[in-house]
This record gives sequence, structure tokens and C-alpha cells, in this order.
Amino acid sequence: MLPEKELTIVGTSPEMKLTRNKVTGRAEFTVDMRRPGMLYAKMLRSPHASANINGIDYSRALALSGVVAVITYEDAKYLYKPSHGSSREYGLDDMVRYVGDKVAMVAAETEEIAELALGYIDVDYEVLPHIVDMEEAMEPDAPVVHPERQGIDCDGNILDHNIQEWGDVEEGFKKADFIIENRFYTPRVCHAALEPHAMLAEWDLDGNLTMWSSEQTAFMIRDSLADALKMPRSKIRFIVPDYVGGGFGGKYESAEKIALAILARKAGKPVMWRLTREEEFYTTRTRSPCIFESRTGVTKDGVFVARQMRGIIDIGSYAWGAIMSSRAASYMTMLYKCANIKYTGYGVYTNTPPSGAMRGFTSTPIHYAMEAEIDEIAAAIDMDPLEFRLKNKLNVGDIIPLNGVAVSSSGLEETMLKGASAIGWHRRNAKPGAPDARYKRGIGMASYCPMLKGTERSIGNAVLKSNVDGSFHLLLGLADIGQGLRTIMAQICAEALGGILDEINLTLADTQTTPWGTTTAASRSTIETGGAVKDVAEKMKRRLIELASVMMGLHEGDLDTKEGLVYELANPGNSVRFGEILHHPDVYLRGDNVIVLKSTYSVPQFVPPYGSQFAEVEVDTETGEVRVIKMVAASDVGRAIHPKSVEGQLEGGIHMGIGFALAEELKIDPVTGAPLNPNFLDYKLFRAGDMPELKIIIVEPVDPYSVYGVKGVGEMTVIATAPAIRNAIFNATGAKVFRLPLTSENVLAALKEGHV
Amino acid sequence: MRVAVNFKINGRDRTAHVEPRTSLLDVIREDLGLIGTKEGCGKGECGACTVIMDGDAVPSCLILAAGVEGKEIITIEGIGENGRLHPLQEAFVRYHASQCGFCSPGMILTAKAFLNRNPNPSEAEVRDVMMSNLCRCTGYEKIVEAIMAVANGEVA
Amino acid sequence: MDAHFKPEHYHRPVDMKTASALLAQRGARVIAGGTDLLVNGPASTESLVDINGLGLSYIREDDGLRIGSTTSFSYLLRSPLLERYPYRVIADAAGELGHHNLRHVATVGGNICNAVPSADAPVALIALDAAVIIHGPSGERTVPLDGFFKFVRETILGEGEFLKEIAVPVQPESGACFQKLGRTKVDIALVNAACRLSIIDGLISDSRIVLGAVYPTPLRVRAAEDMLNGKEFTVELVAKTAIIASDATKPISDHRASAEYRREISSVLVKRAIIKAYGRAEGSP
Repeated sequence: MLPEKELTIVGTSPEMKLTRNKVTGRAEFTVDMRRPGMLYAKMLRSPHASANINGIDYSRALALSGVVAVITYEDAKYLYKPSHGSSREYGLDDMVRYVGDKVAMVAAETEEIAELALGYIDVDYEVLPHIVDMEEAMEPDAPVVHPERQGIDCDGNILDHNIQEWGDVEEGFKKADFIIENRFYTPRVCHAALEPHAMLAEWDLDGNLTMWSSEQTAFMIRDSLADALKMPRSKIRFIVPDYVGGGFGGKYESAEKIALAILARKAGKPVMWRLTREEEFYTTRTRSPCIFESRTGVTKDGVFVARQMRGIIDIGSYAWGAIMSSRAASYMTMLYKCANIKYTGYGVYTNTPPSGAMRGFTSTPIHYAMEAEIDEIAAAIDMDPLEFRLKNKLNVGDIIPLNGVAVSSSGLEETMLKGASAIGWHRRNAKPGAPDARYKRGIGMASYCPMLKGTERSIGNAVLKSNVDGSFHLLLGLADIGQGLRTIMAQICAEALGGILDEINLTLADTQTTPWGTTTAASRSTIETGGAVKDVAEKMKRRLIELASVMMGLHEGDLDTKEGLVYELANPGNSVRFGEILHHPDVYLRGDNVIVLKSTYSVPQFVPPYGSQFAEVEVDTETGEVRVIKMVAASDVGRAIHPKSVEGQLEGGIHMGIGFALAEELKIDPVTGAPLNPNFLDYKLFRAGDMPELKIIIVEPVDPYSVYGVKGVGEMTVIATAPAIRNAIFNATGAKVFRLPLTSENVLAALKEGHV
Repeated sequence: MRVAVNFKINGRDRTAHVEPRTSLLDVIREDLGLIGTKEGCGKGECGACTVIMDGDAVPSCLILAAGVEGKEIITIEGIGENGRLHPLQEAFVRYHASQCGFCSPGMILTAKAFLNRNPNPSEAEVRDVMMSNLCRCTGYEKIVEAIMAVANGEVA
Repeated sequence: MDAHFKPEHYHRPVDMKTASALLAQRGARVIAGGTDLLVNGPASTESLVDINGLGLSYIREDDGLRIGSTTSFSYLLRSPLLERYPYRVIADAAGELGHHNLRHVATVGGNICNAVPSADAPVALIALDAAVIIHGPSGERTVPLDGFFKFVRETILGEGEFLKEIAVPVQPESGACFQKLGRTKVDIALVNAACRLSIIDGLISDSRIVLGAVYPTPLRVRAAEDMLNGKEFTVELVAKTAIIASDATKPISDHRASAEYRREISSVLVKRAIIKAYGRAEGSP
């Protein structure tokens, strides 16, 4: 690989594009849009956790002044095909499977009228027995969430059952000097992005559909709509606006978009639908609740000999979340060496809100279990947990069992050592349990590798288009969900092209005009699409140099680009601006001045990001309250394309991780299946005064395979925050808490009983 | 029954005719077409709808429009002068305090009202006041940094 | 906002008599700050009676303190009259309610009349022997705040009546403390507590112990006060008193916390409130 010349744009933190619009209120989010004649939609939702719908009479609703259209399963029972797995969900259905499930939709002249109209829709429900608890749902006589799928792809409520083994765990356990068994529970949590979902659908009389929506993907939704409605893809234009108020995995393809499209078609007018905050909490996909039962064996010197895990993952009422189950095993293989690993997993339906992707996928809950266990093992064999991790970790060149790929680059050790130094690791209690006092302090750590990708390959596309003045348009199929993708892609483009950052303007996520893109998710955007951007920019650069060489009478090999110029390497003062090249009459008349180039890129191999986090906590032993004093996050990001943006992602991830650790849970009534706290009063997000002192350490080993050596940042720090805090509580008090969140009540119980 | 209410918004006198239960947020977004003020929860918990009313930052979703007779209201569109950004807006840009941007208008107005009354706060005081506004993207770190920079005179 | 909350009429009376007359009508509800009504407004509401025009936003010294019912919490927090204990315990409670901006809008009268068990202001005010002045169609009456609450969201306010003023009597030389435990810093109380006490000749006297969120109404525990009064301060005495207080509670288990946890925390918060109040009575901050 050629050495990277000195980078001048990548690795800096320029002003983010479009931020001025955000801070002045000019930014137009989906919900701010208005179309002529626009109507407003509301969704009627099921009060029952499980019921058949034998009929819906909406004549009284339709008779209300201002109500324009109503749809039910009779209009919208089209099959939704998600990007993962096979579908068991329809736009609207004649069965409901959780409290809040979609039943019917109304379009009216005002949102108020639409909401009142919901009360005038008469639904003939045949209420069925329902099941809320995931372990009970596995029993043979449990009520079945998807009776229509029995014998097709599920056995009772078990949709996914996977066993993955590397080596032989039984043989491994025979070599163990010490075996530990635990059972962990992680809760249902919500993305809680500040912007609730909003979408707008409009048909024209040629049968073209346009939809604007706050999403992480344009193409995957457009494709699922085209498949469901049996339309050519070209007749659907799906646009993600330039401003999306956060995604975190929650703004995704869904069956609801099919329903909205049908409603708009029936109404004959554009229809805007926005979710209330309550709906946002309990009718959009959540993170799956999980149970992990672990059995782990180590030698007395602290080396893993066998790691076994049985996982039960509650996928809720619809199948998207099944991938949480099938992927879970992967995370056991990514961080530490162990010859014998076995995961037995179940993805189980329950009559609860459907679960799906949320920052970190299953790596977030499973790392809680895996990393909590390490500190307990270390204490039991009287070993420093940092030493244990250093001893067992995978190093560069080691083969990852999951995909047979060797670790290409790793800053893991650096993250462990730098993080330990920053927190003052030597200050921790040598054995768990600070001296007796009302307040006890402790320090804990956790490391992680979010897998992001396994063996499947996915691609990034980029189109770069020149203007005659040497400015450019970069067209990408991905969406910017607030993390700064727009600027980062522009940086990569400008760097590889030798262009001017401000003169590269982007169009994102418009299925009519941009090339196909996947989703802005799984921390893959910079790697995959960034790789395509670099490639297309280099192609453009070569084209410009080719044209300039003719103009300047020099060989192409004598030329390079920088800051919007082609210049002679031996005599940099001899240069032409891109615009001059494209304006040159020889070029102009040939039509060369409008250059449109495309690249498709796939990262040659899996590039693993790593990180370690260190927490210092203070536990009030009278109340169980946990105060996180300081959190250090050291992250191997490969290379930081935009360091301030990377910091922002890591800081934001800590916020989400701390919530997962200490306060967040969407609670479902165990009897009725109804949500108990779908609001910000009772779903506790951390606020500015709740946050600890943060220290971010960026480690840049620069991977040899990825664009500029980058690794995906978006999902990093959410993962190790909870186990680091749990381990700090263990260090402070000796108490083990196996379930999240670590509320004061749970911690006090653990302090009294030794565990919870 | 519609009620006529006269108030000042971003320096201009306006009259609105509102239903009894119309919120100030509804008037700002629907009647006046000012989209910078956002609805994040409708219950005064998230701060996305924050405006400044008679010098104090308030959640506009909980303010009855009929009750704002004679009040002076400032939305995000009303700060900064002659096309120049207000120092808080400039700081949010410079310190990368805005990711998705949905919470930014509310954050900036809460900070503005607070700094007007307390020009030299400690970081702890800033964090305490900024608990009026939720953010899911940033972890608040760069937001607090930006506000402190303005308080310390580093951003004009 | 819920589309079913659709009052037809809005009134902003400028005198109390008119206010009471309007409130006596069917479906009429008081609105002051609106922070509860605009969230939980019942569909039966037919008219809103906005009492912000009655000049009831004040805090002044007059035979103790007089606080107008529509005074916002941030207004209270800015008042120099609440700088010293025991009055300061009112500011302590005010400062823990909601978040900073909400305190510009929420009123002390609203917090009282909402009558949710977890309300912060009533707990502190009852510890200072506050009374409320109620205005109604047949005039005004004064009721001890301790006797104002009947049950969850139920007060003794009758037809056409509204809260005009909170009267906090002149206090004995004493210390006071307000304690609250929530799940995060901005939260409703899982438990809150207030204590006021004096020290006379080295013995605790004239104590008040009040708990919130652990009973359908704010709970003054006279048995705990009796335990303290006339005795010297010791760690054992405080522990015993705290248990008497928590034994008097009837907390519920809900998705926020279990009854057992609330009971346990009651005794911890009462203990801490007594210790802090005693220190303040001795002269420490």
C-alpha cells in the first residue's frame, strides 16, 4: 500500500456543514414540512396485547367534519419485507400482537380532528390470551404470538434457535481450575431521540409516490415499499431530509410506512404523520430485553479455557429483532482468546413492543454479562482485572474465530493502559469492598469490541459530479442522522481529490437522484461509503490531471492536486485551478467539463474497533444511590477523520450507556402487557447535571485496510459503560448486581443480600 | 370560543386568535410559521420547545396562548442581529455542540436567558440550569463547553 | 396535548369575587401555571379560569410570611426572605421541583392544589405550620395546610373555591431541612421529608416531621415528634425516631419503586433531616 501523503483535511475538525441552520432555527426537519392541501394522520392502537380483529366499522369516524379517509387491514394488508430475515408483518393486519399495535389510520384536516376521529372507530376485537414474560413464552403451553407462522418458521414462540460452537467447551471445562456461573438480565430500553418519528407521503396522478421521512435509510425503505405495493422502484421517491433528529437504530424501515402510503393514496392528498412522545416510546422498536446464563472456566493463572453462554432474547411481537439473537454469539469471539466457545440462543416472541436495532445491537447487552463476569473471576482468583484482560486479549495477527480473519490493527492494549492511567487505576480497592462508611468508592473497567459486521459484505456507492467552475456535487445514498456524515464524507472527498471542502456540496438519501445506499447504521458509513467516496474522488483527480496535462504540456506523473489546483510537483507555482481546466475551450466543447463518476466499494476485510472504559463511582450505602464521579473512555477509532466529531460520538455514547446502566427501562405491565412509563417523567434520561466528569482518549492505530485507516465510531462507548460502572460498584462494595438498570433500589438490595 | 391575545414576538407586535387550550408552542409553529421551536414531548419535560418569555426561559408547550397578553416572547429566530449569529449560536458552531440539532434552539435559549441574569456562572450552575433541556446525541459535554466559553468572554 | 381536553371558554377575571363565581360553574377549572392541567387536563373541563390576573404573585413579610398562590417557584427562589432557616426550607423544596425552566411556570398554589402525594412544597410548608387562605363564593376561610388534603388529588376545596394565599407563621428559633430522593436529579420524589426543630436548654423541642410520597397525603408524624421532644440529641434517638416515622407510612408499590424501598428510604431521609435540622438549630449552615 502506498504511504499516505500528509493529510491536510482528514484529521482536522472544520465547522460542520449545516450547523448554522440548526442553531438559527432554519433547519427543516420532516415535521416542519408543509405541502399544499396536506392532511394529518393518527393511528388507532390496540388496547389489547393479543386479539383477532373480526371487523372494523369506521362509518361514524368518516362522518365527522374534516375527516377525509380511514384505512384498515382491508386496505393495507400488504406484506412488509424487512432487510433482515423474512417478514411476518403487514401494513395493517387483522390481528394485534401488543398493546399499542396498529389497527387503523385516519387522515383529517387537522391533527386534532384525526385524534378525535379515532374514538369513533368501532373495532370488533376477539381478545386472546397473551404472554409477556420471555421465559414463560418458551413453554409448550404458552399463548402463541404468531399462530399463522407455526410450522413455517417458528415453534411456539421460538423464532430463532441457534447453537454456535468453536472448539469443545466440555473438554475446555475439564481444564478449568475455577468455573463461574451467572445469570444476567438486561432491560428493554428506547432510543429516545429528541425528534419523534415523522413522515409525509404524497401521490401524484401518474401513480408516483414521494415520501419524506426522518430515517436512517432511504433505499431500504423505498425497496420495501416497492415490494409491498408491487410498484417499480423508479415510481417511488423516498427522501430523507437534510435534518434528522437522531436515530440510534430506531429510525428505520417499518411496516407503518406501507400503511401511510396507502392512506395517502386513498385520501388523494399529502398526509403528514408524526408520532407523539408516548407512541415513540412504546410503538417503535426497542432494544430487546435479554437473559444471559453464563458458564465460564479459567485456569488459576487467569486464562480462559471455556466460555459458554445461553441467551434468551425477547424479540417482542414482530420479527425484526430476531437478528439480535442470531448475531449474539459473534461478540463472544471478538475480544479475548479462548479455544472453546459455545453460544446457545433463543429469539422469542412475546406480546410486547417489537424490538429491533439499537446502538450496539446485541453487543451492548451481552458485554454487560461478559465484562461483569471478568471482574468477578479476577476477584475469585485474586488477579487484577486489568491484568486478566491484557493477558487474554486478541492481538494483531490473531485469528478471530467468527470469520477466520486475522486482527488487522488493534489499539486495545493502548486503550487499556491509557485509560487505566487516566482514572488512576492504582487507587482502586485491592479487593472488592471499600472500608466501612456511608459512602464507598470504587473503580471498575470494561473492554469491548462491537462486531459491526460478520462475514457478509455490504457496499458503499458514491457519485461525484463536476460543475464547470471546478466545484462539485457528491451524491450519496446514505442519510445524515445528526452525526456529521455530510461533513466527514466531504472531508474524505476533498482530501482525496485535492479539492476545497466548502466547494463540495452533498445530496444525501434521495432515491431519485443519489446512488443506492444501505443504512446509516452499524458504524459502517465512514468505512463503506467513505471508501467509495475516496475512490471516486481519486478517479476525479486522475481525470482532472489527465485534462490538465494536455493543457499544461506536462506528463500526468509530474502533476498533483491540492486546494482546488492541479500543480507541477517540481514547480508548484505552475498550476491551474480546476475551473480553468474545465473552462478551457478544448475541454468545454468536448463536453468534458461535466464529469460524472461513480464508485462502488466494499471494505476488503473486517476491521475491528476496540475500546476500554473506566469508571469511578461512589455508592451511598444507606440508599443504594450510585454517583458516577468520572468516566474515562479510551477508544481505538482507527483514525479520527474529524476528531471533534469523534469525541462527540464517544461522549454521546457514554450518555446512552450511563442511562442503560443506571436509570433507563421501558417497563411493561407483566399482566396486561401495557407500557407503564412511556414518557420523559418516568423514562429517566440523564441530564446535564447527572453526567460525570468525562475523559475521552482517542487511539489511532490506523488500520491498513480501511479508508484512511478509519474504524466505525458510532456504536462504541454505549457498550462498555454499564459493565464498567457495575464493576466499579463491585469494587466499591463487593455487591454484585446482575440485572440492569442499577437503580438505587436494585443496588440497595444487592448491598443487603450480596447480589440482585 | 376564540380569545384575542396581543403580544410581542421577536420584537414585533402580533395578535393571535386562539382556542382556550391552544399552547404558545402551537401559535408559534402553526399561526406564526416559526419552525425553530420544536415539539419533543408536549409535556414540558424535554425543553425542545423552550422560548424566552419576559426574560425567563419557559417550555412553550405548557404555556397557555390565551394567557400571554402583553408578554414579550423570543424564539430562536429572534436572537442574533443583522444576520450575525448571537455568541451562543457562534459557540455552538465552533465547539461542535450541535449534532442532530433538534435540541439546539431550546438549549441556546435556556442558556441565553440564564446568562442574561447570571453572566459569571460556574460550570455546576450551568449544568444545573441546563437540566431543563434533554439531549440524546452529545452527552451535554460540548454544549456546556460552548456556554462556558460565552460566559468567559471567549466568543463574541 | 390530549385532543379530548377541549375547554370551550377562557376567562381571566380581575377580581376574586368574579373568579369564584366563574369557578362555581360546572366544568370550570383554575389555571395558574398550567403545568399539570396542560398535561393531565380532564375531558370534563368546560372552562378555564386564569387566576394570574388577581395579583397573587408575591412573597412578603407580614406576621410571618405571606405567599400568593400564583407565585412561581423561581420567584420564590429569588426572594431574600427565604435566605435563612427555617424559612429557607421552602426554597430548598422549591429548588428540587422539576427543572429550572419549569420552575418559572409552576406555581406554589398549583403544587398544593394538585394534591399529588409526592409534591415537594407541601412537605416543607407543613413542617413550618403553614396555613392556606381559601377564597370562595361565601368569602374567605383559613385552613391549616396539614388539614387541606383529603386523598390523592383530592382537597377540601369546595365549589367556587380557590387558593388565595399561603400563610407561614412567625417561626420559633429553629433549624429545618428538606430531603428528597429521586431516580435522577430531575424527578418527582420517590420519598421526600422535612423536619423543623428547636433546641431549648439542650433539649429538642417543638419538632415537626413530615413525609411525602409515602401516604395518600403529606404525612405529619406526631408520634415521631413526640419521641424527639424534650430529649437530648443522640444517634440512637434519631434512629428510633426515624423508624417510628417510617412505620407510620403507607407507601405503595408502583413502577417507580416498591413499598419496601420507600419505607426504608423514609427512615433514612427522616434521620438525615433531623440531623441536619439539629445542626442548623445549633447555628451551622
